[in-house]
Amino acid sequence: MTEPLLQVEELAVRYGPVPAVNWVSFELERNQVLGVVGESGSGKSTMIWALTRLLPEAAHISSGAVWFDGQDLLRLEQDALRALRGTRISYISQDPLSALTPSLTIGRQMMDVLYREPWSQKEKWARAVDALDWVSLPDPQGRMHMYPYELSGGQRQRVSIAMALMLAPDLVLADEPTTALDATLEVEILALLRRLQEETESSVVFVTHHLGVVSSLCDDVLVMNKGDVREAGKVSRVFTDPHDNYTRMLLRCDPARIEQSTRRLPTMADDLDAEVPIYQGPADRIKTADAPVLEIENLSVTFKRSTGLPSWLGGQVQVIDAVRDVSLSVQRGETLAIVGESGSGKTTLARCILGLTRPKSGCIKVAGLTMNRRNRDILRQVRAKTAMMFQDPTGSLSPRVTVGEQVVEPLIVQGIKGVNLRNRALELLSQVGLGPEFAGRYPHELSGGQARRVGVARALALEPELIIADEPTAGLDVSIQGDVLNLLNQVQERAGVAILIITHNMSVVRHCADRVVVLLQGQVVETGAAADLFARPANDYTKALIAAAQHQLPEAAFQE
Amino acid sequence: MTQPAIDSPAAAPQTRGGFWRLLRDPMGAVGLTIVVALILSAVFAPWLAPYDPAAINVPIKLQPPSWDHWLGTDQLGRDVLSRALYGGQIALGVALVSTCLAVGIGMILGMAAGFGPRWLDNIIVLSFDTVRAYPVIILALAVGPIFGAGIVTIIGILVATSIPYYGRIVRTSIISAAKSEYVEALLAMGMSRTRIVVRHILPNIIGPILILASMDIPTFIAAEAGLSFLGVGVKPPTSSWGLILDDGYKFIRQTSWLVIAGSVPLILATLGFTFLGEALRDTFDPKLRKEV
Repeated sequence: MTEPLLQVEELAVRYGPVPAVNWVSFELERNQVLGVVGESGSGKSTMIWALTRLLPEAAHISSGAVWFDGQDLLRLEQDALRALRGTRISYISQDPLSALTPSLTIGRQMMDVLYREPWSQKEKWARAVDALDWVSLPDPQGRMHMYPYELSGGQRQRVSIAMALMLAPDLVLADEPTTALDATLEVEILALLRRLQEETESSVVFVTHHLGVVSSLCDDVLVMNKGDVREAGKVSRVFTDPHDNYTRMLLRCDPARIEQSTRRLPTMADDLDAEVPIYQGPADRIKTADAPVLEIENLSVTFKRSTGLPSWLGGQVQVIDAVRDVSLSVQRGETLAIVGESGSGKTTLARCILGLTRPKSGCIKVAGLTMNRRNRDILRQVRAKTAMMFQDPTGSLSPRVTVGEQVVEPLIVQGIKGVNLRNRALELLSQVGLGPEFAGRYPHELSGGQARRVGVARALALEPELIIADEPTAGLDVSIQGDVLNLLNQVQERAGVAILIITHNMSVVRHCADRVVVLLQGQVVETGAAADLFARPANDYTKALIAAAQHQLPEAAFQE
Repeated sequence: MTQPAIDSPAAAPQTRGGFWRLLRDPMGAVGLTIVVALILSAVFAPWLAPYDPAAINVPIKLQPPSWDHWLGTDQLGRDVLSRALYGGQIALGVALVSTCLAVGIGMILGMAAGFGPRWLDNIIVLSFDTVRAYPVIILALAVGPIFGAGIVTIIGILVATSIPYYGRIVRTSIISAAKSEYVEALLAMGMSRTRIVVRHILPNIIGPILILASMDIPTFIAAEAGLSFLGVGVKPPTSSWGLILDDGYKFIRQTSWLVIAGSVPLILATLGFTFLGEALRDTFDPKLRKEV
């Protein structure tokens, strides 16, 4: 038995007087992958940044030792520590765009990583190309000359992984490296990480809030909550037989782990032994007899991207088909999910419904009104009957206006008189489970889940007939995702609204949607009732999406 | 659920007025005190000043401070304290009026350019650039004789040359805010562009503008002094800090009191308005409020 590569003893970090990490101890053997899971604010990111003392100024390490290969990283000289970073310890960060310098080519940045090596420029170039090839980036020679903005999100993450691993470090610290990626991309990147880890025999500390990722990649897992380690052990043991109540609740709450469709997901507040009610079908919720709330016929949208020069000077106009000939309809009381990856045209579709984007051709009818962007009267009526929830829960709220004022803003916009705005605001907040004390708060004082609730309250202000929700669970912790989906389902039961959910997360679809439309490159490739689609997906792309969601299920990973 | 707001920490700052929060910040208290003192001394100069600022008494010229003349006398035997107090009227008046006008007009034009139609943006930016192309002094010397020297001309020149400055900042901030998701959400609600800008975007950019404005006030005071020196602005025997300073430089070999009397109010005004500006931003920016 050799000495472990990394040994963390009683590590404690504080932000001023506020404890962030409380006396955490763990060990990491060579050639092992350790997953660190927890909700936002659990101290998991602070913990790994503390390992090599890359903390923000406000944070301070109050006790502990981090033994790495016989040296205590917390007491090492700055220079010695810097010599370790990048060569023996490296990082992969969450956002692949901001992790790369925007104004330098990929080649320049790749070669920069090798600045300490005694090789010639030519050799460094060759090694960088090899590294890009190694992470399966197509055309590595050509990519070397490109700038980060010219690559897609997945390609950028491949580049930053290549940069982190090209010197075969002993220890890789990865902070949510797949969170910003689409479901199918996430699977690819995880497979890549697994392969590279096996080839380099590096040890990895992998921080994520995604339980599925841990099960498909990691050997050991550390569950953190409020700065404490709640449970540690082999992934296979922790996920199948959790000892700690918090771990059990967290595992229970993950929508992806509940295979039966349900409209009432378990939440952290629920009793641990409560049964999850199995969804019994829509009963009489969907009003098929009425005219559909939303009807889209043969909608097409194109974007023109010009180089800025007129054609006689060699300028070119590139026409991009964002949406191609899409038709769909939503009934009263029904939830339709539009599924597809980024760039598949799903958000463009939503913008057309609200009249924010002009379609090239086709017809949109909302509650019997034919959409016409030129007719202000119709536009106003359509917007009174439709509410949109944007993707970023906090970013879609106006930062300098209190929550109470924001939720009744739609009433003011529509010029509705004779309503006591204050009472209405409190009423809306209570409908989404927020107390009256929230009325005076500003968006930055809210957590992600609370901000999302405010978004729902604002959507309900005009009692709309159609709610469009763009990625309602994106960026939210597993434990809160269930809360938000339950809320949307409740709102629907109570008010009978039609809901259009835009997402790439199949587990959201499973627990919310009645019908599904799958979009690929602006075209509908499959459509049908949710239950049928999950049971018998016809299209390859749909199969890949469902597989991506299933792959994240721990049990599925073990069976492989 | 009976008394929910009482012990909620986030709700507490809402209940107290912004003014009290400003005073609790030491920088705000000092800044506000200096600014209020300067303004009061300028407004009540006729009652506070011991002598007529224009009364010439050559036999006692260039005297050091004494019980009769607290700041001494100048080269014509005029009481420097009285001249400094009256000078504050011109300096603060010109600076405050110019700043308000420049910020006000600059913001309106900047908002129109940033969130209005493309053609309007082009026209406004073109005129901003045209004005900015001229150095302030050259413009003042060219325009001064046409409109005649005087306070109104000075204010006009200062306002015209600083509008593009504020306008550009407002325009850029609005263009970047217009891309954010909350503006998108408001547009989707069908809110008018004017309302979005005034109610939702403006509160985000007013803070930095306030800071810039409060730091510009001293610049305006100095500019007024400079322009008066060039003969475009206030003419002797009217008093202004700039003219006192100017006299001070001329007679620095005989006495240093004139330079001190002219520069101390200028320094106080600079400090006061800068502190006030910083404190205002800290107080009214909800994101910074927790740290205050």
